[in-house]
Amino acid sequence: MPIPLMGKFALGLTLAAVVVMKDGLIEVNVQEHHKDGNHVHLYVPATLATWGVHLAPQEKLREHLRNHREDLGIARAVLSELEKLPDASLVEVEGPKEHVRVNIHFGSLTVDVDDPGETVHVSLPIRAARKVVEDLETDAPTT
Amino acid sequence: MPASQTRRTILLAALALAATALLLAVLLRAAPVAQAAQTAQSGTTTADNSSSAERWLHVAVTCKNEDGESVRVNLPISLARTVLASVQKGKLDHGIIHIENARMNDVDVRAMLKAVKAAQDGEYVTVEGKDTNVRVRKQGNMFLIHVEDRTGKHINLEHHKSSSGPQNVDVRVPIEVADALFSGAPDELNVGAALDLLSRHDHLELVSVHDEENNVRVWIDTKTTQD
Repeated sequence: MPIPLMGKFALGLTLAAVVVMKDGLIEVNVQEHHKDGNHVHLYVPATLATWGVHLAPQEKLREHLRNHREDLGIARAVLSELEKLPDASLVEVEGPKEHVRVNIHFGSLTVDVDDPGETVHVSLPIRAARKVVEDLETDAPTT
Repeated sequence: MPASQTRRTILLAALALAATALLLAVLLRAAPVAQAAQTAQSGTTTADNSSSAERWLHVAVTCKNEDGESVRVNLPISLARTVLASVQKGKLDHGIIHIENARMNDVDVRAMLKAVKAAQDGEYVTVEGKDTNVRVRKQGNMFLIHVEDRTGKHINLEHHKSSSGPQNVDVRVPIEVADALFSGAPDELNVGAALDLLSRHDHLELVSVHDEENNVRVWIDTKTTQD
């Protein structure tokens, strides 16, 4: 029967979308201002980053993490605290030609840089970042 | 299969696909929004609680020069406290800084603090030099330090070079905070405990620096912004 099949397909697709989108989106938007400048605008489901930890070659990953377990602990602590914060402007640097802002906006850490050369916007869901760091910390060798 | 039933099947399949696409589109938009709503809700709770709990450390550097930069930093003290507590590297050990010699130039800071705590309000240190005036006084439960530098040799915070003109520095430290800072072993500074006590103040001006080119202000309050 084609209708139940389509229903199953739609349900599967919907569930897949929910799983992929549950951690929000990583957004990267880079606009170069010079002539022939590039414009890169990416939306990547943050869940892919959490999966990436498990898909990366474990041997190499462990080698890289060997000396950074302590840093990961600090990063986890920072992200856990940031996750609890309401929307806020954490850092703002305003010069005659450039403007840098680090904000918390809707559960994401956003970085905006405006200068004569380019405009950059990066948005990273804090919860997903914390999960990635936690996974890396779990995988990191203790010695 | 009759033609009408085939058409109906195709129509339903198309409808199902359209519904799925619509749902996906909504989900793509809704995922961050849903998370946002959750965060906003928790944020509201935090904001509500912040009047009784959360304190923010604010730093504002304003350059008077048109070509200069202004810097604004807002950090919750709980974040600083958590980060300090999680770091164990070098001389920093879970909010405690190990110092090699707690007797600075043979001045026993702990003994001095103990004496000043018990003493009456007043000006305890006055240094009037050719280029620099320093005043340290106790007022209520506060240490007030005022430095007036007329040498013009102080460092310009922005350009990391000497700045001309006089510079006034005011520092206000609650005595209990200074006390907490030196509450550990003689070779330790308990920064974590000092931060804990700082976070009990609703509003506290900690540092202000004024010179010809820059104004610097460091303070604590319950707001997330510098308005």
